[in-house]
Amino acid sequence: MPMNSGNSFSHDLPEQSLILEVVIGFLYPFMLLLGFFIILNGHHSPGGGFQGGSVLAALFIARYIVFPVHDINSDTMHILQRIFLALILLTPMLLLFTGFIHQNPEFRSWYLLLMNILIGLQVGLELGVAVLRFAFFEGVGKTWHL
Amino acid sequence: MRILMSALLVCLLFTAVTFISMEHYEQQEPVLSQYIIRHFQEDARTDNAVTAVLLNYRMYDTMFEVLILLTAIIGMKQFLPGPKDLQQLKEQNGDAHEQR
Amino acid sequence: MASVAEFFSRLSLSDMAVGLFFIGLYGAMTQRNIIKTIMSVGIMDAAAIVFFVMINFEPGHRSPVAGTPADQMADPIPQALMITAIVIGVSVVAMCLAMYMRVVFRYKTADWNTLIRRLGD
Repeated sequence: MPMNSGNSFSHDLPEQSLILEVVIGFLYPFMLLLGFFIILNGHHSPGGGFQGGSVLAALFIARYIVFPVHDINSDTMHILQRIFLALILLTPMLLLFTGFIHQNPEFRSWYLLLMNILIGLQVGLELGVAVLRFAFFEGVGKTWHL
Repeated sequence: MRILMSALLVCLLFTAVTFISMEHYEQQEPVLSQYIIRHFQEDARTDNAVTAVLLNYRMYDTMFEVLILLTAIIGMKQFLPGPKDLQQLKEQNGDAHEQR
Repeated sequence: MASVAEFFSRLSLSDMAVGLFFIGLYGAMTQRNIIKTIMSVGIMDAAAIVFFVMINFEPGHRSPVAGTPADQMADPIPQALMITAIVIGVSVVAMCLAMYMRVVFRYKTADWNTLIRRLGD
C-alpha cells in the first residue's frame, strides 16, 4: 500500500484490513456511478444536486478509509469551490434574470441540468473537505498547541 | 432537582403546544402547491416538481444556501488548520510550538 | 386518568415531531457535556424538518414527479424548502464540532462547568 504522501505528517493509524480495502475498492465505481446518476437525473426523477453531492462526498470518506494519508491538495479544492460558487451565482443571473430563458424555453432543461451538476460538485467538494479536515485534525492536529 | 424541573417544564410545554394545536384545527386551501402541481411542467420543463421549486421558482434560496454552506466550510477551515497551515507554523516557530 | 388517555389518543403524527423538538430542548437544558448539547441542537433541527415535511400530507400521496396524478401528488414546497434546512443544519453542526474540537484539545475537557472554570484561570 503506498503510504508516502509527500508531507511530513505521518499517520499512526493501524494497518487497514484487506477485507475493507477490497470491498471499498469494489464499491468505489458504483458509488461514483450512483452519485452522478442522481445528479444527472435530477430533472427527470427524484434526485438533484444536493442529494447526489452528498453521495459524492462519501467517495472522499471511502478513499480516506482505505488510504489514510493526507495528500489531497486542499488549496486546489478550495479554489475549485470558489469557481463553482461563482458559476452557481452567475448562471441564474445571466440566464434567468435577464429573461433569456423565458424567450427560449427549449433551453430550460439544459439550464436545470447545468445547475444540478454545479450544485452537486460544489456540495460534494465541500462535504469532502469538511470530513477530511476533521480526520486530519483528529489525527495530527491535537499534538499542537494552538 | 434541576433535571426534574426541566422535565416538568418540557412536559408542560409539550402538553400546551399539542393542546393548542388540537383545539385550533384550521386548514387553508393550498393555493400555491396547487398552482405548482398544475403548472410546473410547462413553467420549468422538468419532470420533478422539487427541482422546479428549487431551481426555478425559488432560485434565490438555493443560491444563498450554497453561499451559506461555503461560509460554514471557510469557518471550519479557520478553526481546524490543515497540513499546509501547520507546516507554516512549524517553519515560523521552530519546534517550540510542538509541545505544550 | 381518562382525559389523559384521551389526550394521548388524539395525538397526531405532527405532534410526535413537536415531542421530538421538546426532547431536544430537554437535552439542551439539562446535559452538561458539550457534545450532548450539540446533539440536542441536531435533534431540534431534525424535529423542525420532520414537522415541515409533514405539512399538507395525506396518506396515499406519492412523490411529486410527472406521471403521478395531480390529486395524489405530495406537496413539493415543504420538501424543496427542507433541503435548504438540512444543508444549513449540516453547516451548523460542522461549525459547532470544529469549535468543540479546538476547545477540547486546548482545555482538555468536554464539560461546560469545568470549561468555564478553566477559562477563568
